[in-house]
Amino acid sequence: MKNKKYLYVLTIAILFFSCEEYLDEQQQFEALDQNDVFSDIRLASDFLDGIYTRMVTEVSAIGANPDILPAMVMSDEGYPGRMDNSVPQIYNSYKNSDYLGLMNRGAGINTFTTPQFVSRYTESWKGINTVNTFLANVSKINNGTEEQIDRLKGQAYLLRAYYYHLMTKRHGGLIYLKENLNINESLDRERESYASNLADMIEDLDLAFDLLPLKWESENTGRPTKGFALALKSRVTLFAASPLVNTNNDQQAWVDAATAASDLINYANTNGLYALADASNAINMDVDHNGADLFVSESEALLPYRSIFNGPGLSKVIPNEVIFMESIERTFGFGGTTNPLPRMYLTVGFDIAKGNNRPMNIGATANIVAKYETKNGLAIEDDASYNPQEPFINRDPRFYNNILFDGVPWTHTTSGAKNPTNIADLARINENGVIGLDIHDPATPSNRLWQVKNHTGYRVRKWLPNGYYLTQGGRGQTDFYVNTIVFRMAEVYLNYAEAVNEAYGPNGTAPGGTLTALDAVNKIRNRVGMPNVNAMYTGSTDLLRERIRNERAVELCFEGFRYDDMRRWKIAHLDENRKVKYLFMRWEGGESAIYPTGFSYEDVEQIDLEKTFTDKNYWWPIPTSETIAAPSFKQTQGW
Amino acid sequence: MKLKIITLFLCCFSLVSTWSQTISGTITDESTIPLPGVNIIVKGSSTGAVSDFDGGFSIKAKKGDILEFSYIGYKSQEITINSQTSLNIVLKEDTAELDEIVVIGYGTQKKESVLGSIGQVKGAELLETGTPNVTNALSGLSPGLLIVQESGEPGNDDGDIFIRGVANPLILVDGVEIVGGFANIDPRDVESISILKDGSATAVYGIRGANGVIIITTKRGKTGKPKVSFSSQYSVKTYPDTYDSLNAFDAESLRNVALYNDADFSNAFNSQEDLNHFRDGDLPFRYPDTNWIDFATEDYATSFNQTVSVRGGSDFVKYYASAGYLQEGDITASRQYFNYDPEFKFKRYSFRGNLDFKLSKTTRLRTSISSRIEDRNKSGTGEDNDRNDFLGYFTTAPGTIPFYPAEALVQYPDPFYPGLEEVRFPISTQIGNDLGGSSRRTNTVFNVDLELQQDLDFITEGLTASVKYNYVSNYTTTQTISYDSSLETRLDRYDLKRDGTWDSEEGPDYERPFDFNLNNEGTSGTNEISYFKTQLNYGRSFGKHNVSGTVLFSRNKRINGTQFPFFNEDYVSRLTYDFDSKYFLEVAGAYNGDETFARGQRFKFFPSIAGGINLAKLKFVNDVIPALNNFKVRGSYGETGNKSGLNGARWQYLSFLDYTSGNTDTRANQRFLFGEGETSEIDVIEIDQLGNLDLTWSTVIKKNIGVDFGFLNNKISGSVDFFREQREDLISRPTSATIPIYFGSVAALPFANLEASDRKGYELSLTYKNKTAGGFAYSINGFYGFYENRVTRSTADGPGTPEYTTVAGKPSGTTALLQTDGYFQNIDELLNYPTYVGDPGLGDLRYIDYNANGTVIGTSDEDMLRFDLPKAPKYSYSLRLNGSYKAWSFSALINGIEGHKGLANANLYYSLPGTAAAGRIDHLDYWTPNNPNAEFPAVHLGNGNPNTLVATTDRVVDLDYIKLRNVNIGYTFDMSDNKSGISALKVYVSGSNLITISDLGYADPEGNRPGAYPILRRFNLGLDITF
Repeated sequence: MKNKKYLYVLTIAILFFSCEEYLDEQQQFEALDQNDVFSDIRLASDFLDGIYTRMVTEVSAIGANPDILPAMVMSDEGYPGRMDNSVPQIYNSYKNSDYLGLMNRGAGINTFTTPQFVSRYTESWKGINTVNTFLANVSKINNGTEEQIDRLKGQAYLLRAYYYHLMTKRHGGLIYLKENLNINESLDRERESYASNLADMIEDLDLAFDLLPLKWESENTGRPTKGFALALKSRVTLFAASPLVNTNNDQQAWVDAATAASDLINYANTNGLYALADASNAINMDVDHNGADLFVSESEALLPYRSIFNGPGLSKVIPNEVIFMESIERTFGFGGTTNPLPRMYLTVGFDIAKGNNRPMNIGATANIVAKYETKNGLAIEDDASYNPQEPFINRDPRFYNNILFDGVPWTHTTSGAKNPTNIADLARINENGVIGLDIHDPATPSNRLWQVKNHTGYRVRKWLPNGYYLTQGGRGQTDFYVNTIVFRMAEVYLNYAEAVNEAYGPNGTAPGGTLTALDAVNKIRNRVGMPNVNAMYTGSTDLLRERIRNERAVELCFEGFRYDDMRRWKIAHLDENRKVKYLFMRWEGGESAIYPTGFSYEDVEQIDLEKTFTDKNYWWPIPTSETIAAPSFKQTQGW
Repeated sequence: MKLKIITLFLCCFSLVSTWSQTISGTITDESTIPLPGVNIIVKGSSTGAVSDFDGGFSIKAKKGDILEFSYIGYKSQEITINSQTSLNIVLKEDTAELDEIVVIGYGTQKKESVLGSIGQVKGAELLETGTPNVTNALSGLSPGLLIVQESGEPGNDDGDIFIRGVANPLILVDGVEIVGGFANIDPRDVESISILKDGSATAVYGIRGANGVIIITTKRGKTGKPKVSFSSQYSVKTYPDTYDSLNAFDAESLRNVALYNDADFSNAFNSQEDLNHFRDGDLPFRYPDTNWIDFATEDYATSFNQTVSVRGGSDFVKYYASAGYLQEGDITASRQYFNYDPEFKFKRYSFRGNLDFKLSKTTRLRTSISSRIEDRNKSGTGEDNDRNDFLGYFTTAPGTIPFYPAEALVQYPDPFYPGLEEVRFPISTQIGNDLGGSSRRTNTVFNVDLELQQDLDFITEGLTASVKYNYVSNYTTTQTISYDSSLETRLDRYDLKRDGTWDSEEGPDYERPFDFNLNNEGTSGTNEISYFKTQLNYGRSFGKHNVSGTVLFSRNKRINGTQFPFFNEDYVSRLTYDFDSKYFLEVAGAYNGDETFARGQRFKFFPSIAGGINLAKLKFVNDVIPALNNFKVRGSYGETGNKSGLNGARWQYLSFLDYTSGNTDTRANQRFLFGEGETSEIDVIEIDQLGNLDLTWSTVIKKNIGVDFGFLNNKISGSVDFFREQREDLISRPTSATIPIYFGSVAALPFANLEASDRKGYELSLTYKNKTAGGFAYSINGFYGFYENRVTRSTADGPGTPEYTTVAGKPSGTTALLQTDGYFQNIDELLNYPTYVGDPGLGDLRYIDYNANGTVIGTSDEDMLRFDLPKAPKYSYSLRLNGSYKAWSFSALINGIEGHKGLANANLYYSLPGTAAAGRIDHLDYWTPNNPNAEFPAVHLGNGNPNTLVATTDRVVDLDYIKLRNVNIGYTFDMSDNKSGISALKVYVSGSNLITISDLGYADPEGNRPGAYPILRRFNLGLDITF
C-alpha cells in the first residue's frame, strides 16, 4: 500500500514532467545565414549587388511606373503632360515650391505618387547601409582572391560616394556614415557641412579608383570601373566649385574641378577609352526649306550620334562614349507591353491624343528649343537667316536628335489607329482651343473635345526611336532599346571647359592638360558637325561661360543635368528660367510669304505655369520625419 | 500502519451504518412551496439523497450525524440527528447568494471567498434577452463587460467583446480555449459565464490572461429523475428606423449645385426639363426615382430557435444532453434572378452530451462531447469581415433604377433585339448584392473532453488529482458562386438613356450568355486545439482555518489552417487561505510560455496576490451595525503577459538573409544585367528579416481594490471596484518617428518592447431586492463603469514630435484630425486664411493652421490634432429590472454608453457620396450665402471634395446611446395537478433591441458602422415545456 502511494506520487510527477523543449518549435525557412553569406565570395558579392538596386539616378528606370517628376520637368526643359490627377497635383507641389510636402510623400519606390528623387533619399541611405554592412563583414570572406575582394570593396566605396553625391547635391551636407549606426544607441546626429561630405566622397572615390579595374572581363561587363570613379570626381568637384556651393568663388575649387576633368581626359586618352561618337556628317543633313531630311523619321547622317541614346532591336552594347549606364536590356511590363524608361510617357502615342482621356506626356518646352543654335553656329537671335516662322529648319543637328516636332513621320504599329497618317501631329489648329487634331485627315471631327491640357508643341525625341508610342494601357512597340546613361564623356569635356574657363580663361589649360576650355567645347560641337564657337562668344571668361552653359543645355538635354546645373549656377530663380513657354502653331489657311509652311509659329508664355523659386529652393528640405526622430539633424535652412 | 488505520476506518463505517435509521420528510421554501432537487448529505460521508418533486426525501443516518441540506439560491442548513425520523425543513432564500459557486480560473470558489473582480452571468439571464447569439446576449449584463455589435448579418453578427475597455479576451469553454467562436454555443446549454477581470483572477492564465478571461460553463447532469425540456422561440425581426433619403428630384438638383460649386462643366448638368421629369415621375424608366432601402429590404424577417434537452442522473452517472436548431432569416429583399441564392441566412444545429461517471468511490470521469454545424449563406463572395453590405444602398442615386422590367422593353424596344421582353440590368447602377454571386460557409465544430478525477485522500485528506484531455476542431468550408469571367464576357447590362434609346456595354454584336458558376468547394481552414492538463487540488479545513491549493501543468497545441502550429505550456499554482470566512489570502503564480520568442525569452513568471477581510463578520462591527450582512474589502495585485503588438507576426527573433524575389514591378535590380550577352538581372541577397533576440512578453500589471457589501438582510447589495492596469514593454515596431531614415535599415526594423500604457477605471454595482407580502418579488440592479486608457510611451512619437500631435500622454485610440473652424463665409476670409489642403472655396470648411506656418496640410505632424475617439466607449451603464408575481415574470434591460465619439462614415455623412446623386434629407441644410450657419458645408461632387479630403473634426459624431435592449414577460402555468406529464409550462413574449435613443439620427450608433447589415429589432414568442 505504501508502494502504491509512491506510485501515485510518481505518476503525478511524470504528468508534470517539465520539458521546455516542447516549445522548441521553429518553422523552417529557406533562408541564408549571415555567416554563410559573408564567408563565401559569391554570396557576399550577391549581397553587395544590392547596392545597385538602391541607386536612384536622374535617369533610372525603376519598375513599371514612370517617374512622375523627373528632373527634366523640374528644369526648363520639359513640362509634364497629364496622365492622371496625381501628375498635375505633384507637379503643382513642385511649381508652388512645396518641396517639404514632396519630401514627406511616402518613401515608396516605383509608385505613382512619389517622385523618384524623393524615394532616392530613403533608398540611398539603404544603399549606404548595405555598403557599410558589407565593408564591416568583408574580412570574413574566406574563398576569394585579393583582386576579387578588392573589386568588391572598390564598388562599395564608389557607390557610397555616389549615394552621397545624389543626396548632397540636393539637400546639402548630411552625415557621412562610414559604419552603420547602432540601433540601441542614440541615433541623434548633427548635420555636417557640404565641404566635409565632399572630402569624404573624394576619399572614397580615390579608394575606389585604386581598387576598381580599368575594364571588366566579359562576364562582368557593365560594372563600374576606374572611369566611373574619375567621372564622379569630376562631377562632384565641379559641383563644389560652382556658385551654389563655392559662395566665395574660391579659385582653388575651380582648379580642383579642372584637374579632375583633365585627369579623366588624360586617363581616357592614355587607355583608349570613351572616344566621342563621330557624327560630324550630320551637318550635311538637308534640313533647309522643304529639305529632304527635314521630315524623315531617322536620318542616316545623325545615326552615330542618335545611337548613343537608343535604337531599334534589343542590342545592349555600351557605346564607346559611355562611362557608365544602367545596362538595361530587357523590355518588360504587363501583357506584352513595354516599359523601358521611367519616362516612358515622354512621347505619348498620338493616337492617345485623339480622345483618350488619360493622355500623358512630357513635352519639350519652347524655352529649351530656343537654345539650339542655327547650323551656322549662331544663337537664333544672332543669326539673320533664321526665320521664326520656319523654326524647324537649319538648326543644330542635335535639334533633330532631341526634339520631335510637327510633321515628322512616326510609324504606327497598332491596328485601328485613330490617326492613320503616321505623322507626328502637334499643332494647335484654331483659336477655339481645339488642338492636336489631325489636320491631315479630312475626316477629323470638328467637335472632338481635346483633353491633353499641357501641350507644349514639342515632344522629346532623344530617348525614343521612330515609331515608339504609347497607347492606352501602356501598350507600345517593344522592339527597341534605350541607354540609360549615367556618365558619358561629353559631360567630362564640358566639365573641363567650364572649370578651365573659370580658373584659367577661355584659352587656358588645366595643369597636365592639352585642351583649352574652348577646344573642349568645340570638340563637343564638331563631332556633330557644328562649327567652332563663334568668335563673338569667346572674348572673355564671362562671354564663354554663357556659351558653355548653352552648350551643356543642348548636349545634355533631357539627361537629368539641367535642373542641377540651373541650381549650381544659381540661375534657377531668374525670371527667364522660371517661365514655361509653349510653341503655338496655327493654321493660317495656306502657304504664304509670311507663313512659308502655312502655319504661324509663336512661343507663348504660360503664365499660370510659371514656377516659384526663391532662395530657399536652392537646397531641398529633408523629410520632416528626420527632424522628429533626430532633432539635432536640422532641417535644411529656409524650410 | 496507514493501511491498518484505513481498514479500521472502513470497519467502523460498516459497523456504524448498521445502526443507522431512515429519516424522511419534506423540504419547502419560506412560502411553503416544496423544493425539489435539494441535495441532502450526511456530513463527512458519501451518503446523499435528493428531494423529489414534492420536496420529499428519505435518507439513512445515524444518531449524531449531521445532515446538510443545500440548494442553489438558498442558505444551506445543517441538522444534527438525535432520534427524530421525520424532518420538515424550511430553507431560507439566500438573497446575497453568498454560497453561490463562482467559476474561477482552473477551479471554483464560494462567492464569499472570492477576492478578485469576477462577474457572473447565469445561463437563464442570457435566455431572457431573447438573442440566440451568446456574445450579443451578454450585452449590458455585467459591469465592465462591453459588447459592441456592428452588424446584424445572420451568422456574422457577433459583437466585439471588451473587458474594462480591452478587446480580445481569452475565452474558455469548460476550461479550454475556444475554436470557432463562442457566440454560437446554444445559450440554453450555458450554465454560467464568468468574466475574470483583475490581476488575481487572470494571473493564472499568464500570457493569455492580459485582456481578461471569459469562462463559459455548460450544463451538466444532476442527480434525479430525467427532466426533458422543450424550448421553442419564434421571432419576427424588423428593420429599425432608418433615415429619410433624398428623392431623385432633390438629389439631382443637389448635384447641379455641386457641379456649379466645382465649376465642373465637363459633367453635364441636369436640365430643367430633366429635373421636371424627375419631379413629376412621368417617365419612370428614363427618370427613375428609386428608394433603394425600400427596394433592398423586406418588411420583416423571421427566426426560429428550438432546443430539446434531457437532464438527470443516478449515483453512477449524471447526464445532460441537448439538441438545438436555430434558423435566422434575412431582412434583405434578395431576388433570385439567376441560378443561385443571394439570401443572407443562417442555420445552426448543435448537439451536446455531458456525462459524469462515478467509477468508484474515489474516481470520477467527466466526459463532454459537443458538436455544432453552422451553415451561413450570404450574397457576395467577399470576405467575412466586409461589413459594409448596406453602404451600397445608402450611396446609390435614387435617380437610377435597380433593373428594367420587361415592360420597359415594350415601351422602349431595342432595335438590336426586336421583340425581346425581359428584365435588364443597368450598367451604371450597382444593384447591390443580387448580382455579386454568393457564398455559403459551413463551420463544423466538434469538441470532446475527458477528465479523470481521483480522490487521493489516502495520501492526505482533501487531495484530488485530475487529468484532462480535450480536442476541439472547427472545419470550415466555403463554397462560392460567382460570375464566370473566364468567358471574357460580362454580364450583359444596359442603360436606357434619357432619350429613350438603349446603350449596351457590350455593343450590338454581343452574344448574351451569362453564367454563374459554382466554384469548387474550398476548405477555408481547419482549426483545432489539443489540450492536455494535469492538476492536483487540495482543500481542507483545520478548525476555522480553511486551506486550498492547486498545482497544474498544461499544454495546448493549436493549429490554424496551414499555419505552423502554436504551442503553449503552462505551470500554474495557487494557494488560498481563509480564517473563519473573515480574513482571506490568496497567492498564485503562473509560469508559462509559447513558441513566439527566442529561447530564454519564452517563459515568464506571472505572480499574483490578493487579500480581503469581511468586516461584517467581525464582532465589533456587527455589534455596531447589525444591519450589515456583508462588507468584504478586498485588494489584488497580479501580473499577466501579452504579445498583442506583434499582430500575429511570428519568428521575430530570427534574422535571416535571402535572395530578393524577382518581382519585376517592385524590385529595382532589373536595371542591371552585368556581363556581355547577359539577359537576366543580377541576383541580390538582402537582409530579409532583422530579428530581435531580446523580444519578450510585455507585462500587464493589474491592481484592483473593491468592496462587496450587503445590508438589511442583503436586500441591498452591491460592489465597488477601482482598478488600474499598467501595460509595460508593449511590443511595437520602431517607426520613422523614432528611427531616422538615415539609419538606413534595408529590412523592416525589428519588433521590440517599446510602448506602455496606463488604464484606470471603476465599476459600481447596486442591487435592491425585495418581496412584498403579497408575493410580488422584484429586483432592481444597476451598474456603471468607467475606464480610461492612456498611452504613456509610443513609437509614434519621436523626440522632435510636437506635443499637440504626440500619441503618448493622451488616451489611447486617438485619431489625427484637422480641426474645423466654421465655413469660409466670404472672399476676404478665403484670401486671408492660410493655404489649404484641397483648395477650398466659399462655404467649405475652414481649418485651423495649428503650427501657424501659413499652410494647412493633412498630415499628423503638421496641423492635425489628436482626438479621443476610442473604439470601446469609456462610460457605460445598465439598469435591469426583474419581477415576479405569482405565475408572472418580468424582466427588462436598459443600457447605454456616454461620452463616446467617433468618426462618421464620409460616404454617409456628406451628401453626394462618390459621384452619386444621393443623400439624406438632412443634407439639404447645406451652406449657401443665405444659409451661412448650415449644418453641412457647401456641396461638392466626387472625390476632390475639399471637405472630405482629409479627416476633420466636422465628421466627429456623438455616439452616445440609451437602448432598451430587451423586455421579457412570461407566464408559468400551474401544472401541479395536471396528469399530462408536463411538470412545467412557461410562455413568454420578449423583444430585443427595442428602442434606441441617440443623437446620430440616421443609424445605430453602436459600433459606428452605419453601412453594415442593420442590427434588427426582434420580437419573440417563446414556449418552455418540461416533462
